[in-house]
Amino acid sequence: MAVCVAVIAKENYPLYIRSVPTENELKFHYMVHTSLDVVDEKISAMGKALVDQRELYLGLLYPTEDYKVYGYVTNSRVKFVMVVDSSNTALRDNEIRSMFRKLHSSYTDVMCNPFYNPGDCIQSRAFDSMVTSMMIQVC
Amino acid sequence: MDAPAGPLPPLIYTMENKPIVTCAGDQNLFTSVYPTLSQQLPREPMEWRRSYGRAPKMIHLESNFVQFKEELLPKEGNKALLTFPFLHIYWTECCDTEVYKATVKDDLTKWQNVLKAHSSVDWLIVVVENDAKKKNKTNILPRTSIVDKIRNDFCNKQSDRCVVLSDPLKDSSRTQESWNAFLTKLRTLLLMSFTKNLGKFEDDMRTLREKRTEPGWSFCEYFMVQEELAFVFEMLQQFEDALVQYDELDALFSQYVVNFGAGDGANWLTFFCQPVKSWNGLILRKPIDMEKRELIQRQEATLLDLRSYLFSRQCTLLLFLQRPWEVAQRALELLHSCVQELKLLEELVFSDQDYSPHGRAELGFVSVPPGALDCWVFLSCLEVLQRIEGCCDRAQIDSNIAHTVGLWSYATEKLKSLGYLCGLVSEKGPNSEDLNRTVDLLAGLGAERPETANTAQSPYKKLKEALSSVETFEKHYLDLSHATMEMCTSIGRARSAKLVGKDLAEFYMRKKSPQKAEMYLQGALKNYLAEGWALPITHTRKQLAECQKHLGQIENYLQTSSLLASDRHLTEEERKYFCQEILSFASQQTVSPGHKIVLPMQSFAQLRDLHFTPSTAVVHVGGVLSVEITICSQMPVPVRVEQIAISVHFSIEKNSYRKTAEWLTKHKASNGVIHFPTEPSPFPAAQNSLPALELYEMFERSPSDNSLHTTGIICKNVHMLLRRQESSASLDAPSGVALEDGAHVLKCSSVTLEPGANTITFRTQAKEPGTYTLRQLSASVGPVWFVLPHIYPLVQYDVYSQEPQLHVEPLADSLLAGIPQKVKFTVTTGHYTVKNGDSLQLSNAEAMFILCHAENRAMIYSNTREKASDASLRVQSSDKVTSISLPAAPAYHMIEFELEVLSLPSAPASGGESSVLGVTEPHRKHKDTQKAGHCMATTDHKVSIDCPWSIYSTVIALTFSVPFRTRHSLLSAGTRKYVQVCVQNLSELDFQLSDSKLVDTGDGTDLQLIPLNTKSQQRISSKQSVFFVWELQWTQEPPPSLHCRFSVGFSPAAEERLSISLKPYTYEFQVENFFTLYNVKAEILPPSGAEHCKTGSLCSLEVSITRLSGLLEVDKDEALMESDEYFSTKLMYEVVDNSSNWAVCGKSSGVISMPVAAQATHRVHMEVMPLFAGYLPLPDVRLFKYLPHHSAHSSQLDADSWIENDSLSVDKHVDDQLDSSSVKSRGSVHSAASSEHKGLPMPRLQALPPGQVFNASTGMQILVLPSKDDHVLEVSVT
Amino acid sequence: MADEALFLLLHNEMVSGVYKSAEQGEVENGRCITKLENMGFRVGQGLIERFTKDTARFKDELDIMKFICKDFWTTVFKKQIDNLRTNHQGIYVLQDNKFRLLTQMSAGKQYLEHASKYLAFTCGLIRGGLSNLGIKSIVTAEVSSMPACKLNSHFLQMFLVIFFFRSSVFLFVFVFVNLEEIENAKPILLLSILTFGVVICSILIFIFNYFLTHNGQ
Repeated sequence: MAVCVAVIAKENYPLYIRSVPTENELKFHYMVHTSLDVVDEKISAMGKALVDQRELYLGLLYPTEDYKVYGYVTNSRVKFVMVVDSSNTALRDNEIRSMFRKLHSSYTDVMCNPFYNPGDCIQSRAFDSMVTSMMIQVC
Repeated sequence: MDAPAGPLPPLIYTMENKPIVTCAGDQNLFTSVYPTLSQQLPREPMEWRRSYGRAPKMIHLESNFVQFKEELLPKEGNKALLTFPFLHIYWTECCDTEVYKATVKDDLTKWQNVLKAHSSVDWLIVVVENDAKKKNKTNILPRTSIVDKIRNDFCNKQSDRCVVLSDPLKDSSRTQESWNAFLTKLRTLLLMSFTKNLGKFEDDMRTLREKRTEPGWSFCEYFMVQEELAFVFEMLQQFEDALVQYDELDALFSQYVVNFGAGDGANWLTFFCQPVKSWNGLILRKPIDMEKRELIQRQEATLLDLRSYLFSRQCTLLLFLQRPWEVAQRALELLHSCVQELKLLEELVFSDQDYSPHGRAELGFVSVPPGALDCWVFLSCLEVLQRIEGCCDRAQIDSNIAHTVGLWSYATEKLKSLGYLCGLVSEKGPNSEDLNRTVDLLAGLGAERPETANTAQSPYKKLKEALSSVETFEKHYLDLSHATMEMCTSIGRARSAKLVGKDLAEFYMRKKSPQKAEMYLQGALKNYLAEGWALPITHTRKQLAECQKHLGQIENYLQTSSLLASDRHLTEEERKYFCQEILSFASQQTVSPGHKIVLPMQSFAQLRDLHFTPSTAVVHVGGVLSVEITICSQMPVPVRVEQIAISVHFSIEKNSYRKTAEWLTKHKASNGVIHFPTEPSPFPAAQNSLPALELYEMFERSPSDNSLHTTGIICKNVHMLLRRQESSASLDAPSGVALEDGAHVLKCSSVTLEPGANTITFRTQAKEPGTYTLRQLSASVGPVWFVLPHIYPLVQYDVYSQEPQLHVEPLADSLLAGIPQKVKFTVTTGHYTVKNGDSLQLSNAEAMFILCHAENRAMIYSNTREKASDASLRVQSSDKVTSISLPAAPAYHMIEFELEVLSLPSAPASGGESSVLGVTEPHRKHKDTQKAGHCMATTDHKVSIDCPWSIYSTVIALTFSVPFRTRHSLLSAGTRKYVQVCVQNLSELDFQLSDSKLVDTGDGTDLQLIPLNTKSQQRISSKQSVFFVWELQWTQEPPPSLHCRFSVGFSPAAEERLSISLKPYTYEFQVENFFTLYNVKAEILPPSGAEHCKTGSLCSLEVSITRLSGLLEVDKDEALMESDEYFSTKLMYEVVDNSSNWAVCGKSSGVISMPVAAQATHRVHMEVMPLFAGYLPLPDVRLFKYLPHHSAHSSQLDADSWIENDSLSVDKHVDDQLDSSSVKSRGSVHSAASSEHKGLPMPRLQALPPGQVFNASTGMQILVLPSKDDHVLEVSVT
Repeated sequence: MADEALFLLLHNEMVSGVYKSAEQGEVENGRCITKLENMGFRVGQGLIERFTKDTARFKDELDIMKFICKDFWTTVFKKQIDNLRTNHQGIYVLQDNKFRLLTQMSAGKQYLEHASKYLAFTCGLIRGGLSNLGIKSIVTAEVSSMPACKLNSHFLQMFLVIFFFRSSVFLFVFVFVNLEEIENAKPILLLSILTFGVVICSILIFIFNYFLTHNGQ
């Protein structure tokens, strides 16, 4: 499904970024980094929005020809960015949303891991395998 | 819904899209009414209730009135809604029956039949009345009759289908209301018709859609049908609904494509799978792009055509709806999805055919010439943008850049790829096949469309121009990119802007103008560094490196490549390459020799830890210090470094304490390894974490009663934290690295740094004393210097120099005189090296010897207290000097040895003024020890030592203390005399006393001293005393005074026989007037008759004083008076009973004149009364010399001494036996003290020295019986 | 959050443990508070991550503070903060009339001098939570006339939160004695808050001066 999954600290440096091995990693790094612009926009815009619209899921950040970039921000200002192949039209908004939820909960586990020191890169195997499960092709 | 704003051209309405209403009957009448009607109809909105629970709408109805013709009526299964007549009206104003019967009725009937034939039930009959006509008619039926006739002729059940409009052209209230009634009716009927017909239409449409899985179903047909509906809604100005129709179509189509891609081949789609021949972008300027519509109708549209048309319609409607931004957004999605779909179809075609049920043949194939899509997208983007700009004012656009920027960047991107495709991005222009490609692309654009033909900046023109030549392309590309970047930055999308910038940089690099590129690369790099994105950093650096290489910025290039060479994200090869770049540069000799290129070391290698030997990092001058550093080379290959240097800053240190050997021995603990933090985390934000809060407990007591009323936690460094917050912004490190060359440098030449950890050892010979701080670490590869500007944490080592020193201290806490004592010599060599033959010259003090044994060993220790060696040392002593030849010892070592010294037990002399003992010092000491009681007399011996290292001789003082204290006393029994000597051991250890002697040192020849001491050997243990007694005997007249020396040999009891013979302990003293002159005898006789004394009863005391010798020297004084035949002296006696056992009755003292002759006796009788019963000692009788007052000068002196002695006599007898010296001295003291009473004529008393008076009755006691009546006695006594 | 009792007891043990280790010289004594506070900090980070997992995103600091007072407090202490005040310049006063960590202590001034130990962890908890929500803050605490207590938190964007705990025991005493005493008690409370305002103002002034000087440089 996802071709790239990234966790980005509140200071905008990557805590975790992983992309499908087949593709050029660098491209995704650029993509994710650029997508932060939109994330910031959405977050700042969110301030004005009503409570019910203030959900953590930011939706489609921006589409490119080949990919769709989705965003999610936790209350602790940690951003999740997921890149999906845009030919993969089977993925609807809800699937993305649920994927983000999964990501978030397993990030929370990482946060509560005594061996994890907040602000460091995420090394956790559990997290890694979870991400892998998100990236394996289903359709 | 009011009509859309200005920019919308009204031409939409000029095309005849209004619901059609036919008019039959009286045409003239209709034409007369028409203006009012067409004007009145739309005036009031009407609520339109919808089927399928759709929300009711208020709509303003308009309609297009046409003359009724039969061919207007739709045949069965009509799809065309636009031309469908929704209502049929029959107009008549006939008012008389004849006419009605004659013509109108038939006409109506015919009309009705036609309608029935076409089963259209939406009709209305309007009967217009006006009074004018009635006037001139004579035979008038009631007006209503006609209407009624019509009603029951035609509208049998639905009577409301016939309305009356009365004199429409008048202006009266009646006219008004009839109009209103009519219009309302009309509207209602229209709406009813709409609902009915549209509902029917939609049903048909749905059924058609349900068929879509059946073979032969054509999307295009269905498209047309649904679009018809859309048109109608649009016609009714229900743009929302219209849009919905198009969206449904859109969705349907996309879904199809997807399914198609998934292999479910709907063969109708094959129509769209024709090769793409034309890629002129979207056309949004016309409301309906008729030619594309035709294509679709004719089922010849390509996918692009369909999409374009669909979007153009959506766009139009959205603009009606005032949602231009949605247009932009949808446009972007559309473009993306189109590209996707084409790709999909394309790869379908070229992928093998396993899943397609029907062969590839009938599936035509989508072939898209390279660049075609790019053109299409580019054109479309610009078209959309221009369209939006067309209908919004500047302010709106600026405030909504966020929506359009996507299109801009997309366009830029596409133009770029076109440029690359057509070889326009290269310093040498396009080659032939580039040109061919360009031509093909341009061909695909077709001719410019008329509506944009006259606009200057049309997308079409732009593209054509851009592709025409390298220069124009550059111009356009730059314009676009700059515009995009501006927009991005203006809405705060810095990162996107940077990305575009990077593309631009790439472009410039291709164009071989790196100076332009650099700026953008630097900008991007900064951004990535600031946010810590490793891969982009690496990639950008690589580009930057290339750029700098072209620019020939050697230093920057080298720096960048050093960074890259150490970059973990690069492949081994790349790292090697960049490393090689540095090395090759370093190796080439072209740069001028003096010139150095200084680069920060961080990327090249990292200092991990540093280790000193000696670990204390303190060395003496000339000592060797080695510094071992571990640096971790970041280079992928071994690098040979000419030299690695640590520049050191030298400073004279203030406190010299650190530099002493003692310090070293104390600070052994630190193992001298300093670890350096590894490079800071790449996350810039993570670094500037706050300093720790300083939280403290807080106790607040109430001022009134100091009771605790508040506790809590307070933060003491709030201001710190705030400052930190402020300054955290300016965190970036200064990049400028300067190579400082201090005077002191630790060097290490020609090292090869393997990748990973290397240890390098620097050795240095310490020169000047002081503190050396390690400043910079630098490694040089040819002209390239990698410099670590500051070594932190601070590392420093100390060099010290120490003067040679000699310490001499006793081993025991106090040295005892008389016995051998050990003294420890410590020679701290310091910077001086002790050679063989160097020796210490001790000038001995007299009365102290240094005992030199054969074996004397000296230990030699190193500075750090490790035992270096030990050597024997020779000590030879002449009478004056003792020379100790030191063993050879290197500098900064310690020589330790012990020597035994012996000082004479110099006897503290007694008998003050006796001049025999010359040594005054010990004497004085002896005196004050007498006063101070139980501490030993001490002697100081100063020894001056000449050390080989200095011309000055050091003087050391050793203090010995005499272990004994000695006192003597004179005892007499009648005329016999005894001398007692008491030796007290004050020291801690026991002694063995041997062969005690007492010799007379005076001239007295015939005087002999008979020892009464039994054993010669005697042990005296610590803090004990031993007594010795001698009897004095003489033949003729004894000497007035007697000088004695007491001497006793002693040796420590504990030790075995000592090698050397110890000097005996001597004590000299002097006794005077020891010869007895008077014998005083007292006795108490009970009262006559009683044989015992009783308390309270008077007894008689007989005192007899007897002169024992004749005239002697000692009697020669002024008390002696000479009568004719004999001499006599005056004495005073005194009876004192200080124990108050006796009450002396009558005079207790008296003066007697004593003849100075042997056996002259004087008796005194007096009364005493015993106060107690029991054996009472006799009251004691004292005897004084009585000096008459008329005698010479020294009157007051004796007067005092009389008073003195009177008062003193008590304590003199009470406390210890009087020694004459002290009496004398005391006398003298008083004489000094009491010079005030001058010339009192008084008789004077002088105490006789105790030796001269022998009290025979001391110690005698007499029994006193208690009397009967005590109480009487009590009374009498008190 | 585990069972409340467990948490409370565990907390007590932790406090005593830290102070014991200080007596054995492992920690220098003054830093005990800091140590506890740091523990709290890390815990706070973790907790907030969990608790905010399913909540809507926060609008602003006030929103966050509300969350802290309601959900966060409830989850940790099984009750809400009783009162939240703010001057909208980042100073927040939170008041808990029944601070769980103090209610176990006896009423009155008996253990007042020890009370502050039992606030450190909570301070850290809040600071950690806030920092994880992207607000740098300083949280300090204050127990006045045992066992009522204030906690001040001080955002670095010049925010100051003040917590004002008041333990049940104290109130119960009043309740049991008679009701009007509570009426008497109220002014005391208000007064203390007033004094508090003064404190805050002074702090703010200090900070302003600070900034002035700082910008001056």
